Amino acid sequence: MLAAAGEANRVARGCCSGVYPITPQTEIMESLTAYPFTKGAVVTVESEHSAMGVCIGASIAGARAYTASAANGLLYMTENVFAAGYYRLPIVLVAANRTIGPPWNIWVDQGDSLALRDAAMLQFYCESHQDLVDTILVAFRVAEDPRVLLPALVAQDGFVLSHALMDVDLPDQTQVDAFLPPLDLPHRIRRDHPRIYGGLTWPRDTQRQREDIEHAMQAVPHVMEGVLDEFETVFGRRPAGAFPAACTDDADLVIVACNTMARTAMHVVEARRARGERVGLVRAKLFRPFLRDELVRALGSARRVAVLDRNHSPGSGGIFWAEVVASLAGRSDVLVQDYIVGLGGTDVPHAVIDAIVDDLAARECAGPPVFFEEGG
Amino acid sequence: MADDPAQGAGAVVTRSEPLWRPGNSACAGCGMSLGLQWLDQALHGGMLTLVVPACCAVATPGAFPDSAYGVPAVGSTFASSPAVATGVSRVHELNDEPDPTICWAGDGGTYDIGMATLSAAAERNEDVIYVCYDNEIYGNTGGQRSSATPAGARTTTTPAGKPEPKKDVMAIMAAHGVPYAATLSLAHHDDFMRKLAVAQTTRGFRFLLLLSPCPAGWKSEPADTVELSRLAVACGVFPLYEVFNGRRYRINARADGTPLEDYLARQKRFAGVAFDVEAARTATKEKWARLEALAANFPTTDVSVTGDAGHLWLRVLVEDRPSVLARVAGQVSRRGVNIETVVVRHLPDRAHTYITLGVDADEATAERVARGIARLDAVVDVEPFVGECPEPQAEQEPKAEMRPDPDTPPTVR
Ligand SMILES: Cc1ncc(C[n+]2csc(CCOP(=O)(O)OP(=O)(O)O)c2C)c(N)n1
Ligand code: SF4
Ligand SMILES: [Mg+2]
Repeated sequence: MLAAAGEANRVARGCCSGVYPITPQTEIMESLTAYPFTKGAVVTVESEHSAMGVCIGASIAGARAYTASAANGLLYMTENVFAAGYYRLPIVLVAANRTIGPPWNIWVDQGDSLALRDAAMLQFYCESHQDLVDTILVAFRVAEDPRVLLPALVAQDGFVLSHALMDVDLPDQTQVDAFLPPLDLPHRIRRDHPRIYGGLTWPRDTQRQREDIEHAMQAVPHVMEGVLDEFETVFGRRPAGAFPAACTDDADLVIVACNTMARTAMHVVEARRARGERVGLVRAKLFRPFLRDELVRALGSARRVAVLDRNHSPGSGGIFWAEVVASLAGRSDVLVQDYIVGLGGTDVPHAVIDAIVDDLAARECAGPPVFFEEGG
Repeated sequence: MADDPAQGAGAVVTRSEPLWRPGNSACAGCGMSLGLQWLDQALHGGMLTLVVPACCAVATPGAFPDSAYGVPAVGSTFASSPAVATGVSRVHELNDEPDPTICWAGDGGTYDIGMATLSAAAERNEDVIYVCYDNEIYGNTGGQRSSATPAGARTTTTPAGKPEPKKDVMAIMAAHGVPYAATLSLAHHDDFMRKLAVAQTTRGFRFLLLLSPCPAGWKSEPADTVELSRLAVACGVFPLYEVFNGRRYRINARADGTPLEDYLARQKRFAGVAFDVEAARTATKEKWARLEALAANFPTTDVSVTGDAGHLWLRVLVEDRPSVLARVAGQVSRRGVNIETVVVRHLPDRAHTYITLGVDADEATAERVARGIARLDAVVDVEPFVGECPEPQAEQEPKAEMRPDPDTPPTVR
């Protein structure tokens, strides 16, 4: 479904982007370079660092900018991803999640985009092609809102989603134009008002700038509500918000998962519900900003929470888990257990998530993060 | 990219502010700082977008909310200026904004960390003017070696003098076949202004290398900056030359026998190190032999037609003197070739002119004509090529952005 990511950008009138190939993202750039834009340019650069560099230049000059990468490409791009955030540029970056090497492994792992956790950038995680297409459009709107003005990363699982086929409702250009008017970046280069971007700052101004970014992140939930409302008006469907939840109202045990793992987990929840078990699911879609209150609300009455992390921060554990624990600070009545699964593209089938639910149900207290595989 | 009436897409914006204002914190005698002032003169008040990677040129304009730059300036990450400039210049073009995009980068950003990005932008022939102000050192971080540091120079990371010779970045850029590459000296004002004029009237990637004395790093007297620039050319360590399309080399000033020691003695970075002056002299001689061979018979050396689709053109850069146009035209008519279009454009330095002739000839004849034109003494360069006219077309309204100097619009005859 990489083509959908390329297509969604095209319909969003991505006006200038730098692109560089890496599996499993390559088809996005191939689809971007395949047809000419009405008004736009795709620059085939020599590295991801420059791909983001071109987006930065294009965006400061006032164009909508977009790029895509994965794994080592995202790491190579990192310096400029941070820069894009600090310049407050609403660039959209699609990640096809892939394992960081060496040793080389092209399969899914969310450690790559999560390594960009501390950049000033929104992060969305998508479960399906429709979710991806819609979220890219939503991401542009939220990122470009004058109350936000930050880049946004939209992630999908490499191969598991990126190379799967699904039915997608691709919006047509008139709808997209209605939803996404031409970008008018307030601080773009102005010939009549010269500014310096990225000069020197003193410590206190730097702290204030970072604080401004925090305020921008805090504005996201409100801005996103409005954007989703408008999306619904224009397209007739409503993409998911930060923490779409299923069966959590009366759930004792809730699974927290992102991307395609959440879809597998949903099957487990349905099967267990059919047996009368009070199990629920929260899909972690918006990772930055991490809306702690919304998560707590989504978890409902759960007293046991299994966090599925397809990533690993050595010496700490799962990255989503750390966020969930922080969100539930002071709640000694909730047992949160981290399950690190599916690293390096290891399959996470129904049975694994089933076993995790059993494991959690049997626990008396939470332990350190566990690496969980099929067969226990 | 909303159209903003205030921005006046397509219009030439002139500015009242200097490009580089007083109040910046560059060291006394800083060559980079003087270079920015000369760049300003060469632009004749035209607007531009500067892209400056991490270096002294981003550290010295002052801290937020102040800036010594009187033009839009994007401070990029260290390795990224050619990529960021690519994005800026592509969007300027999409929006019909004539402002040139100019990178102003140090030797660290050029020879070292930015080399891959620079090479890629040159290979794509992005419409960017790239100026490397080469102070032969990482100035901003306190004076460490770069691959532009010459052999023998003491830096904080080569306390006994640098063993390796300076990287020949001009050769690398010429090998990319960029439309224009040239060296610049702060002791040769006319030459500087002419080259900036040629750069502004050329499209595609233009690479300019400015030797930029740095009193802090060279341990030289601030008052000696221009004199050191002069000596570097006079003793031959910094040849002044230009390369058209990576093929035609033209030497602008030759060494005049000034001893190398005169240049070295004014810089304490060469003092107290075991420095083999004879080896340096030999290296300089060898460099000149290579350069002379490349520049032999310029510009008749290589006038083969480039390009593959479109009309046949002869683009002739001449000194602006009476009757030059007639003599150039004479060379064409002598060989019975019909001139279909003549576009004359004066360069902003007011001393040079581009004469572009659309001719009705086969390629072999065009090359013979070009060789004849090249022999005329007022001719700086001649380039026969097949393609689009690089100048505003006779048929259409001259586009404002093709005009670096609003006072001298292109004249179509
Ligand atoms: C990725 C990265 N590495 C290192 C630095 C630190 N740094 C800033 S400027 C500089 C040296 C710049 O040297 P040069 O390009 O020659 O410019 P100059 O300071 O001499 O003007 C270095 C190493 C940086 N900003 N970014
Ligand atoms: S260190 Fe050198 S280049 Fe930097 S401001 Fe001082 S003199 Fe200029
Ligand atoms: Mg330097």
